[in-house]
Amino acid sequence: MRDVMLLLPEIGAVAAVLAVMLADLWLPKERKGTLSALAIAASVVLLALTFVPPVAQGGHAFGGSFLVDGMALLLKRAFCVTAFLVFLMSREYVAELPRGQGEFYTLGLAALTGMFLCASVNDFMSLFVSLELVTVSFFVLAAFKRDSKLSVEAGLKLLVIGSISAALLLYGIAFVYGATGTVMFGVLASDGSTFENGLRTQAAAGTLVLSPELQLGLFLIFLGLGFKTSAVPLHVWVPDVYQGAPTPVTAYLSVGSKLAGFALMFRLLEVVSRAAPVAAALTPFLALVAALTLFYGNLGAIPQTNIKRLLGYSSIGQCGYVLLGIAAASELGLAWALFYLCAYVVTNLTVFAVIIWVARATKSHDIDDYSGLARTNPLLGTALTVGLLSLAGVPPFIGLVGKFFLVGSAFQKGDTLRWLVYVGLANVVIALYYYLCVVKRIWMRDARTAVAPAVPLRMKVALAAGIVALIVGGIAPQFLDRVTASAAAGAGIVGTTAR
Amino acid sequence: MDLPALGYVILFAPLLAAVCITLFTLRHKAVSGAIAVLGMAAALGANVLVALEVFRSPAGFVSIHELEWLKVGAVTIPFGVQLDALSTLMALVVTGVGLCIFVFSLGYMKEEEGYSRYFACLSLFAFSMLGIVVSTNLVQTFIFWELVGVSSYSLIGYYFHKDSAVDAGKKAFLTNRIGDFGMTWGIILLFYTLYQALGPDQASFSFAKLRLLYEDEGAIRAVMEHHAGTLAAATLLIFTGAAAKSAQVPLHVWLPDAMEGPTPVSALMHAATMVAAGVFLVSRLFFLFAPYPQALAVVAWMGGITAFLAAALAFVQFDIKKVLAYSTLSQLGYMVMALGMGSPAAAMFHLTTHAFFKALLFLGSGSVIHGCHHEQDMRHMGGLAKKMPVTFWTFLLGTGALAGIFPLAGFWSKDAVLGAAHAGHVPGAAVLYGMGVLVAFMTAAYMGRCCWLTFAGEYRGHAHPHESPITMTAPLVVLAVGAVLGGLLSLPAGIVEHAGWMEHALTGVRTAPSWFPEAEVEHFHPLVAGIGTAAAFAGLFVAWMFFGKRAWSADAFVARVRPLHTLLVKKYYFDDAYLWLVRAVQQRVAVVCDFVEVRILRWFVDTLAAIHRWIGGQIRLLLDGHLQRYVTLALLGVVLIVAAVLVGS
Repeated sequence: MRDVMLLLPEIGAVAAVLAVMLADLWLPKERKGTLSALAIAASVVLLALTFVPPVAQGGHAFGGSFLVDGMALLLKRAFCVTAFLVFLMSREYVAELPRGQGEFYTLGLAALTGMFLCASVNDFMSLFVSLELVTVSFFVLAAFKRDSKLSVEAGLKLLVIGSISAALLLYGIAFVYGATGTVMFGVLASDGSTFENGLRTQAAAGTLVLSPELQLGLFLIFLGLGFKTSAVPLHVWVPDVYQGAPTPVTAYLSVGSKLAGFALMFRLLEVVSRAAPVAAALTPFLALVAALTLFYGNLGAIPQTNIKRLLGYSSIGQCGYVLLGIAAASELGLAWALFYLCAYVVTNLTVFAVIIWVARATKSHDIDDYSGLARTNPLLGTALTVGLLSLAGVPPFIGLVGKFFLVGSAFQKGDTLRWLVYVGLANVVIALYYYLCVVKRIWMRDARTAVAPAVPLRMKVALAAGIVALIVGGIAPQFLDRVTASAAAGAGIVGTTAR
Repeated sequence: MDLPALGYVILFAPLLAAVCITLFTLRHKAVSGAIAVLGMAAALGANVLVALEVFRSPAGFVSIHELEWLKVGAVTIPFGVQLDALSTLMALVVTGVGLCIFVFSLGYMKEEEGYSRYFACLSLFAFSMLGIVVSTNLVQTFIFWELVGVSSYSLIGYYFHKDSAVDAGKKAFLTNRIGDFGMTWGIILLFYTLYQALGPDQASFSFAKLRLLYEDEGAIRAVMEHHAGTLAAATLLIFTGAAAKSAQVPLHVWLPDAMEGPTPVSALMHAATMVAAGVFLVSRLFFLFAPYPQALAVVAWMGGITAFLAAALAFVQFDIKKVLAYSTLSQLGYMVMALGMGSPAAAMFHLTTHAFFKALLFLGSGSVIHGCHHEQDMRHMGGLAKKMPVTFWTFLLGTGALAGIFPLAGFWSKDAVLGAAHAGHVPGAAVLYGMGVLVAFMTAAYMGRCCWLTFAGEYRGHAHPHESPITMTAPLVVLAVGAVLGGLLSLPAGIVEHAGWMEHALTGVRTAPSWFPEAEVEHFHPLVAGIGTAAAFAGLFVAWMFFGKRAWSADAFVARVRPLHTLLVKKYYFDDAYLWLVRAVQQRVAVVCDFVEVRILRWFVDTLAAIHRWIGGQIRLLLDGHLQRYVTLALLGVVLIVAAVLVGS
């Protein structure tokens, strides 16, 4: 029974999926708007469920393959906030779709269920299944506008690249199983001794090194997960899908799906880093991926003219920063990666909210159509500016704090990662360029069209709250830091006892 | 309310007004004016409450409230308010005279387009000045010091469509920057020296702590033994900041040009606030100067020379505001001289009375200018006494006070300054005293010239002069009362039984540090007062002979001293010398810098940017929409990355 109680948020999410699906059948066409309210309410209820005592106390279930600890709880709450904000900003957008309103929310909540599971998985098999639940939902969501060529193409690309990454992931899992003889994280994490099967004593130096198959397996797993987090080299789908998918789906994808991928990376990292040789072998690999991702995203963003495509490249670049903290493979790096992602949820969704509402007026995602936005709608202009500047890491916004400490955690790693610190810093400058190009248009150019985007009161409040959150978080980061630091410190404490 | 709370009210009420006007009421003239006046009135009200408390307390009373603002290593920089006799008095001058000027502006600026902007700037300026006054430490002072610079820039350049106003604003700002530069280094040097000598616990930016440090004779003597030169240099560097704000020769050039701002701005800046900041700062930091006779001598001589040179310039001006501007310079010279003579009390006393009668004179001239439809040339005035009676009588009282006629306010404060000079010990004190008397004579003479040209005789202009509205004349009357009765603030010992309460209240300032030999209390000296009064009357007599009775011809006199006249008209060639210096030195350095920036740095940066843009373009082409290529890229990437890491390790 206790096992089932731990799964309360997941059970709730499945119930929400079913509820929306049934409501869709019963509701007459003109009252489909209720579905939106239902989905928004569901995300709030699910958030509340993560605070219910048996869940909040944490623990493990089903023979250790399901785990609830501080990090899992924090991530689940972040997923709820993500879903809440995405549903909130896409209400009008979805209402204007010719068909499939119910499916949109059903799939959105199904993806949320998958994300929940990603935060809690504790063995490789559940990892794979949970991840696929998220991915499959997004295949459909990306192709949601069936009459739009771009949208269908986006869905197809996501599907093909997703399948390849899933193959890589499975291949990697097979190698790790072959080397260690287990798929349970709890067993792997116990004290590192399980890795002994995969470790070999280097005769000359007397130190332990990883066998090639274990090493290869881990690399492939991380690269496969890189598909979700948009890390090089499985980032190739990002620009096309970001541009082609319906904007609310892009928003959801850019935050929720990415966070799910990182949740799994964090979990794995925390498991394998208990064996010092494994962590040592992973650091140069992750550092290389981080550096490539940073350069790819930030340099590729420079020539873009479509804001969604630009944000696609930006999203690759942002992923690079989190990988930088992960490469540091320390508790500090993990804490700041969590901090950065929590900040990223609010920042990126603020930006996408503006994009949804501007596009409703201008019917365009051309960056030039953002000219003069500060004058045609000061709130949207300010929100977009604040969001982009926070992504760029400009004071006093929250993005700066996250970037500063992520780079700092790499710095503390010592000489081995010193070069990565410089890469991170150089990329801050490069990124500043393309973010500021948009900001320049918002404030310094005259508007191209006379259409002034209008937003409902609900969005005004949400955007204003977003702006305030980004500024307050930047000036007083200690509150969020305390939460993420304790989540990172407490991660896996329960897990160690699970066999 | 307790004292610190009142202190914060004094400081922030004008800022609140400025913010409200800027954000909400830019389009509503009347509301903006009312908000600004209300803000200032609130500050004055709080100030009066503070004054009642502070001046009733025993001498040396200080109330300090500080918040920790910045903490860098062992160094803490606080932000707060310090209320003692000195800051309370100074704040009273700023808020009291300031309120009169705010009210006057309601009428004077009526026709202006940027009415709300004007009041926002004026409030911001008052906030900056009050920030200096109530500051608890050098860093806070410096911040507000800069804010005064910025807000004065916006006020002097208020008529920004006029090139001359823009240039004047720039000149004031740049000249002050020179002083600020010195001041920055002075503050750093002072702190650094104390930090090196005494360690992080003792070194501080805070006035109270610095003062405490200087009270300990043994400790400070020990520091001075090794760092005498550095401490003296730091003190003098801080003084350059004060000298620039208080417009002392050779950093005086900005003040006459600053008359380009609206007349009430001139009154506020040049009577009550900005230029007083320098004198105030030296008074606040007098304990730094006291142990260094050489530093005091520099201060005294700088003041004396400024007083004399500026007074001479006032004779050749025809613009009524320019006469007052040079007069201000000259009077500031007086105050600085008194500081150098070791008597901050005399300086602050003269500052206070001067604030009243100079604000009165400036506003009077504003009323005249307003009445004559923006005519400022005294040659086109005359005979205004009958047409503008209130303005005339109040202006006359101001003139009398400035000339030092018994029993007006100026008589007492000027006597205090001359008395300090008479009793002073700096090298050449006797010469300085002589110059002081000469300046008293000249002051009376040029102010007499100004009065007779403006108010006597027949009207020589083409407008139809009229008396100004009540919002303008009422402040004149209020300030005139101050100009008449201001002397009561500090009647000297000898006339009354005890030294004036100001002497008493400012004890903490005057005698700093306590181990330092106490300057003798200047008793009322009949001879000094007599000579001063005689000089003033002589000056008025000369002015009357030239411009009242016209028994002597000014033109004939000018013809006889032609070279001197040219020298004065050219303002001693200071501006020309600076211009030459800028052209000969700065311009050449600038050419080199320009070359380095445009040809080398910009090329470098542009190339760097172009390289990144090019790479970005190539990367973009990788993802061109073909799924086959995507898959190839991804798998190739996987292989290459894994291979690179495996080979690398």
